[in-house]
This record gives sequence, C-alpha cells and structure tokens, in this order.
Amino acid sequence: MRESQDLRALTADPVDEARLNRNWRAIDRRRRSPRTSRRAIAVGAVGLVAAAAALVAFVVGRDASPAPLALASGAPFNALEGRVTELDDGSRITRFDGAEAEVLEASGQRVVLRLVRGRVRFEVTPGGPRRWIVEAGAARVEVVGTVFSVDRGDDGVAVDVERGVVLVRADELPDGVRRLTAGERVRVAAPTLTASAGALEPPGPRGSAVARVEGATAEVGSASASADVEPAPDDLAELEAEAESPPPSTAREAPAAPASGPTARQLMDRADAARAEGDHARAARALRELLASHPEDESARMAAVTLGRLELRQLGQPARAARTFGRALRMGLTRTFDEDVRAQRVEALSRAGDAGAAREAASEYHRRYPDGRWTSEVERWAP
Amino acid sequence: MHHGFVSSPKRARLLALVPDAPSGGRAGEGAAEPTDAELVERAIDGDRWAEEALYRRHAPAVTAAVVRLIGRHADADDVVQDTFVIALERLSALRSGEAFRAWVARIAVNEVRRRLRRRRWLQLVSLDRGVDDASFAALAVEGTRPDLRAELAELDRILAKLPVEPRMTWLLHRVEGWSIRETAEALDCSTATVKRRLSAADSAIEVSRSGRGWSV
Repeated sequence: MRESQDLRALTADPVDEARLNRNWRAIDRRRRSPRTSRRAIAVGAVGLVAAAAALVAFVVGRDASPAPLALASGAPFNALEGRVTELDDGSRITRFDGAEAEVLEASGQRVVLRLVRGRVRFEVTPGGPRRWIVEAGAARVEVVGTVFSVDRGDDGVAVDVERGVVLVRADELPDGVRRLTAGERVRVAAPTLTASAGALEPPGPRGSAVARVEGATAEVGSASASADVEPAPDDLAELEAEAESPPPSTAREAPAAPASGPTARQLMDRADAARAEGDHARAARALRELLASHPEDESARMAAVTLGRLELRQLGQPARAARTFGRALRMGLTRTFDEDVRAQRVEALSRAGDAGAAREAASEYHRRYPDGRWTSEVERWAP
Repeated sequence: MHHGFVSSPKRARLLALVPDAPSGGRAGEGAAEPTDAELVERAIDGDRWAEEALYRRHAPAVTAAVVRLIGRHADADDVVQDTFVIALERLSALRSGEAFRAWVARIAVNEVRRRLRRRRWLQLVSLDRGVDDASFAALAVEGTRPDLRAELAELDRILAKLPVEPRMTWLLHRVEGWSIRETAEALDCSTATVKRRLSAADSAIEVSRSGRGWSV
C-alpha cells in the first residue's frame, strides 16, 4: 500500500533484532517460572492481602484512614501561617498581600479552606488521599493535585491553574463542564460564562503528570483558569517568581472604553464565546480587532498569544501565527509565557516553510532557555 | 500464509531470526518451513524451540502494530511480552494451529485496549507518567524535512482525537498494511465494520490529501 510505504518511509521501523531478543528473553523468563504456581501465587497473594486488609481494618478501625493533614512542623493545620504555609504532605500554600483565608477542615480525606478575600496560591501534591476544596463565595474549586491560585475580589473570583488539567463545572457551560488544558482560560461571569482556549498549548507531544481539578461554580463575578499540562522540573521557583507579579491571565481588564466600538473586555469575551462554540475563525477576528483597537490594553498580550495559538493550531495559518507570536514577544511576556511563545514560534516558522527564520528563532530560544522545557521540541522543528 | 502481515522487507528479514531447528536446519532455508499448526502442536508438547519459532515468526508484525497502536515503546514491550506469554500458555485452547497468527493478533489488540483503558484511568487520577515516544513524529527518521515532521505531528494530533477503535483500525490497515480480513480478525469485528471505521477515520484525516509529504 502506498500510504503504508509513505508513512513507513518517513518513520523508523520500531522493530529491530535487539528488541525482539530482549522481549523474548523476558517472555522466556516468565514462561520458565511455574505456570500454575504463578497463577496460584497471584490468587493467593490477592486473597492474603484482602484478608490482611480486612483484619487491619477490623482491628485498627478508623486509625487505618489517612492521618489529618498537618503542618510540616507536625503541628495541627488549623490556620494559614504567615505568607507561606508548608504542609506535611509536601503541599504548600502561599498567601499574597491582603489575602485572608480560614481552614474549615483538614482531615485525612478532605482539606477545605474558605477564601475570604485576596489571592492565595495552592501547590497541592498530586496523588494524595485528600480532596482539596477551596470555597471562595461564588466559586468552588476542587482539586486532587495541581498548582493553582484563587483570587477573590469584590468583583468576583478568579482561578488560575498553573499546572494540571482542569475540569470546570458551571451551569453556564455547555453540558455543565469544560475540560481545560494548557493555556486555556475560562471566565465564569453572571449570568453567562465564556471560555477561551489555549494560549499555551505546547508545541508538540507532552508528558503526563496530569492533575485533575474540578469545580468552580460562579454566580457573580468572574473566574478564569489556565492550565499547563506538563510540570517543568525546575519551574517551582519560576512559578513562585511569577506569582509575585500577577500573570497576564489574571490581570483584571479595565479597558478605557473608546468613543465607539466594543471594549477590550467585550472583544475578549466575544472571542472566548466563539472559542467555546468552536468557531475559531470568529474568535480570531475578535482577537485581531482587540489588538487593532486596544493595543495598549493589558489584555492585548494575552490576546496576541491566544491569537497566535489559534492561527497555528486551529486555523492552519503558521505564517500568520509566526507574525502574531512575534508581536506578542515584542509586547513583553512573563518568563513562562515568553518561553512557550518562543517555542511555538519556532514551530510556526518551520511549518510556514521559513527554515532559516525557524533556526534563528530556535537559536534565540536555546540562548534564552538553555535548559528550556521545550528544547527537544524546538530541536525537532528546527534541527 | 502464516505470516501474511509481515509486509516490510526488514520484517521479512527478521524472520530469518527463527531459531535453528533441533535438526540443525534453519527455518526458511532449504528444509521445509514448519507450518504454524506444526509449531503449535510441538509447542503444546513442550517443545521450547517451537515456542520460540512461533514468537520469531510473528513477533515482528505484532510488535510493530502494538507500537503504532499504543504509541509508547515501554508500554509496547510490556504488551508484546504479555501477549506471547498468554498465547503460549493457552496454546491448548487454540482450535486450529493455523489460526495462531490471527489469535495472537487478537490477544495483542485486547492487551492494547486494556493498557489504553488503564492509561486513561491513570490520567484521570494524575498518575500517568508515560511519554508518547513512539508517535509518528517521534519516530521520524533522521533527516526528515521540517515540513514533513510537521505533517507527522499533525497526523499524531488528528489520530489522538479519533476514538480508539477507528484509530486502531486505521493504523493496522493503512499503516501496518494488514488486510481488511486480518484487521477484522484482530479487532474481533466484521470486515464491514472495518470498512466503516476506515471510512470514518479517512474522513477525519483531512491532512491526507495529495501534496502532503505522505498520502493516504
């Protein structure tokens, strides 16, 4: 078949002698162990474990459940401590100026906090036994493991997820739920909610470390969330540094209304709504209008990043995407955004056929981020 | 044909790795090559050479298919090992030795399904740590032009959005070159279903038009 030949010609045959030999050795080893006894051992082991678990549960009772969450010092977790609160499961809570929160519950199964006001950043260790819940008035965020911030103000609640994949539940969303991945953003504002996707989707396949977040039901104000699927190994300090200054996605847009025409906020909402409906072309038009009519607005940077991603991923316009990413970079981005955009620009230039410019952009990326998160992807697009 | 789905010259060459027969003759050279039925019969009788011969004959195609279907090298090796352990342990349940190829392919596909279900569950609970290191883009040969790499990455993205069954159908038939019948046997469905899934997958893969670096 021609298609087989074409694709096979482009890709390495994953089968080689070494692999076959290696697998056969493993199979042979497993085959040499007694068959019946292996199955019997497995069944027996399961039975023993079940019996032991039942016995332990019976004898120990409630003591078998996870211990209540405590401070890293071992003290009970009854309240937030100063600016940073470190917990015994490795989780960490950072309270920003003016933020006020109280601990409602810190049991083995649940951690419930009430955010009274201000911005608090949560780094929840993934895979733990507890479900974290942050009550923030109109918004409720549930999470198993990720890094996120909740910002409650008079005008509503904003949720920013820095890592993880997020499920946002809200009556206003289609089917009541929306899964957000890298760079996607959702606003929940009464009485409607709009969603925009993806300013920060990575330029290629990404790793896992997926976290789950559920929640966010807002009746007043607004909430936004962005998620980065793959945790960078060294990004905690970077994220911490970013947290010192609110990233663009959390910036409250208070655009000066022009004499005529929609405001930046209205255009962003229009783009968000279009993207939620899957109408990427309409979303792109709204974002371009925002950039043209409100270039100084603080939402313009995120509009450029989002537009570039739309052009690259959804609209198949890599040349336009490369230009838009260039514009976003000239506008100035935070470090994480800057790195992601530079990496995606390499891909855009490469896909647009401008290999020379792609190599230049790649060189610039490597220079700025010698240990960057997207190094291998950049090398793939501009070898 | 015992190994009808061994379609690439390289994989055909790998058949030469079938171990030396106890008689000293090399399978496929000179002496008549034992059929799958003969090998299965001997393997059931405890002939380890026959077991390895069955593995060497069918593992190349099964491994290649599993790598395509599961997209991760480590997972693929696990699946291949599980597949042949299961197959060799349950040989006596095989009604006809000639059906070994289809049988082992079906076991492999079922193991892939199981693995993918587990992966989805792990992703839900944030415990999936695997890397898709066997995607088309990741397997691009050295020296592939950037635009072709981009097309491969795009194909990966499109395939990732397809439901599992149409995706597996498309990969087995369109990429691995398995016949409609072989694909249907492996997926345990009718040939009509395979054709329907292929049609659906082809429609979804809009990048398959001519003028691209690869064609479908």
